[in-house]
Amino acid sequence: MNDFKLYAEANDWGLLVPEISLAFGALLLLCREALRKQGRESGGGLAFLLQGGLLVYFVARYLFFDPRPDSAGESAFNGMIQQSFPADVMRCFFLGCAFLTSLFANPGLRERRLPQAEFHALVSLAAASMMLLVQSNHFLMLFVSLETVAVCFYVLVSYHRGSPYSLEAGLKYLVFGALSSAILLFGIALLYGTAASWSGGTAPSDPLSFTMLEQFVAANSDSLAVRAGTAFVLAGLAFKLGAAPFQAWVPDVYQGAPTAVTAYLAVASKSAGFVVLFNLVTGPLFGLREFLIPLLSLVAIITILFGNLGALTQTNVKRLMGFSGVAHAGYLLVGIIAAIGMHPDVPEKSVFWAIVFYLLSYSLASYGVFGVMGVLAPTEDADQPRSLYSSLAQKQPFLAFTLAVGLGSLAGIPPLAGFIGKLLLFVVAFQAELYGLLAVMVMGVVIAIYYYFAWIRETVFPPLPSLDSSDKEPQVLWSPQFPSLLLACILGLLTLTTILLGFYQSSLGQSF
Amino acid sequence: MNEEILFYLFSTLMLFGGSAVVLSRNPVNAALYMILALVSLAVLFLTLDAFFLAALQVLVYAGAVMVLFLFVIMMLDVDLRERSRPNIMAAALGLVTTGAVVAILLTWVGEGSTIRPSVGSVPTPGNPLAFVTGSKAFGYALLTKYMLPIQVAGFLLLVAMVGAILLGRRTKLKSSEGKDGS
Amino acid sequence: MDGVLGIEEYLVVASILFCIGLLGVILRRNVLLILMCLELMLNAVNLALVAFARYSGNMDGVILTFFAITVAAAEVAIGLAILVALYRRRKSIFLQDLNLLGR
Repeated sequence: MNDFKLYAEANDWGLLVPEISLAFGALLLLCREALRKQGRESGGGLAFLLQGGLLVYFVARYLFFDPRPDSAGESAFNGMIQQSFPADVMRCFFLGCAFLTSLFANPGLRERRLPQAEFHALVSLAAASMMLLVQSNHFLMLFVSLETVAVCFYVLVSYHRGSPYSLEAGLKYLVFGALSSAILLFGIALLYGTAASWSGGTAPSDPLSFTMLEQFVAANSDSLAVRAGTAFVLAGLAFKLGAAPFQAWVPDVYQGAPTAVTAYLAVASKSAGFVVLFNLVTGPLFGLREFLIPLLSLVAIITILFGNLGALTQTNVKRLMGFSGVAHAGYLLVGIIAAIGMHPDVPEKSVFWAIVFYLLSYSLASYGVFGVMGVLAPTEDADQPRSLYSSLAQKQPFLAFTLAVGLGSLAGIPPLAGFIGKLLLFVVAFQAELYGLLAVMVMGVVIAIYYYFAWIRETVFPPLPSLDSSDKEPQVLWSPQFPSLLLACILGLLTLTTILLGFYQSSLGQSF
Repeated sequence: MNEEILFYLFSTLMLFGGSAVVLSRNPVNAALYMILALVSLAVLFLTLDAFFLAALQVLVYAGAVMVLFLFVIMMLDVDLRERSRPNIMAAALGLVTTGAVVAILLTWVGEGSTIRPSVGSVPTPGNPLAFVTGSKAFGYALLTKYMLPIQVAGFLLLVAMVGAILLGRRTKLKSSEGKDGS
Repeated sequence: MDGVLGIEEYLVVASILFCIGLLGVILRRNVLLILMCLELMLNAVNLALVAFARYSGNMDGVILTFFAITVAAAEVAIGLAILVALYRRRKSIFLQDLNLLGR
């Protein structure tokens, strides 16, 4: 029983103050909604205040006053989680994503008369579980928090429950998600089983823990069961990333989901997947590098080609963002491969910061673009042809500028943050001598410029007068609304950061 | 010896039930075959001395989940039989994938040397969470070592409950859209 | 348990059940049945986990199974809720009719 006493004493809840306060905030929102008087509107004010306040507090605490850049990672909760400076950075990142998502979604929810408190509660809970996910150091913790994120997103994607698009997207996301979680669990079972019954050495006492699996996998890197388990685990994670072989859901779900949720899915959920993948391939699965590099390279090539070629023919901008999101996942996978294949003298942390910078630039640009899309969206926001944006620059120059900067950053145009992000990934891929993948990446970036610029051209230049005058033009009477002041300020801030990070990223690099 | 008979009997039943779920055209039949498969799995858990899980399996799966399925089938109350045949490409793809998975697993079982068929039922100092048949060990493990995951799982169930209420609530969206509120 | 019955038998049964479920997910067109087949796959993994835990004398696999059952129940609840809401709009639960997206 003494062991259990020790276990119980190792649960130090103080380490998880951000997650716990988010979870309690979500409970508070739900309770307030339950006790609300009939007929009174429940605003999102409390949610913004909560998430924004937490964001400011924890960015200040973890990044400026009490940073832990040197610690190798502190294990807590009996090895369930491991806290480190990179994980703290990602925790702040998810808080920021949750704040932006709640803010962007609120006008749409009010307009459609959908319950707001539940939405913000779900966004907060998803953020809390993603924060736990990037810290998890144990397959059980990983599975439970991954599934909590997934279940939150099943509900969020189908949140516009009056719209068949949203519901269809939710169902597709759920079927793919459940399939991938079954495959992930099968992979975990294989790794667990072989590690627990390892006869070659001392079987690890906790075979699900990353730390203990690391030694086992390194010693058994040629075992078929370990390789099959690893492949299954990676296939299950590929769903979160939107990478091959589970990329088919991405365009449909991105199109059908409410626009703010699409942004959350594209940025936060994908980032969580990449950080988990990075933790896995540089931690417990590092012993399999000879097996992982060709496998992941194949996945990356298919993902980049699928995303970019699929995006070429899209006229619906939400689907276009879906395909391009797949392509970005492919570029990030190249970064992951570089982390495994890097020479031992280059610290893998530098690759991690390249990935984080890419995620940061991607999230700034994506939230800018999706924010503008949310403002301009028609009532059925799954139905957004590119022609909706024609000559936006004349009607709403601010929104058009935000959109253009966001798209330019996603395409990787030189003065913007997205360019530096891509450049850093190119550099790490070059250092790791991944020349073939580098070529595919460059090809993908060139294709991407074409479809992003087709969209920018649509917003800036008025469309040519159609020769066929009988062609009906459904959005003649459409005039875009200017967003609320708060939303406009946030959009402006995102744009400004995107531009500034393109020039002044060096100070950021030194602090890491 | 008894365990062997139980194992072969109930694994056959389980695989039969599973195949019948995939093959049956009527969802009600599929749900009943599914219950057969799930209860057989509970018996297999018994042969593995996991009594608590066997009870959970019957209560949660055969009890709650399948009742939910049957309830939804009855509620939708339409002809749910499939009209179209599955297309050949999907069938071929499915068969190839399945074949590959089975081949990998059978090769691995043949490899089999890493599996050590011994049972350590006594908690040792190095491994306090050794396999114990009673449900008491579950409680200890869940409330000490796995305290954090169990809390997260609690929130997972909360999210599922909130989500099911939100999505399942019958609303008159058309009329509320027509009303112009503040 | 020291009899003839080894872990291999359990794993073979589990992997066959997993593949039956996978085949069902790929082949069936009725979303209700796809959800059932997904449950079959999760159950197959549970069997493998419990067998591994039993034969290696380690409790963690059984506890992972406990969590897997919880997660599966939550997924089914949400899946059926979405399905019912979608059925009210589209009057169909077949995959070939769920084709609004991507047109």
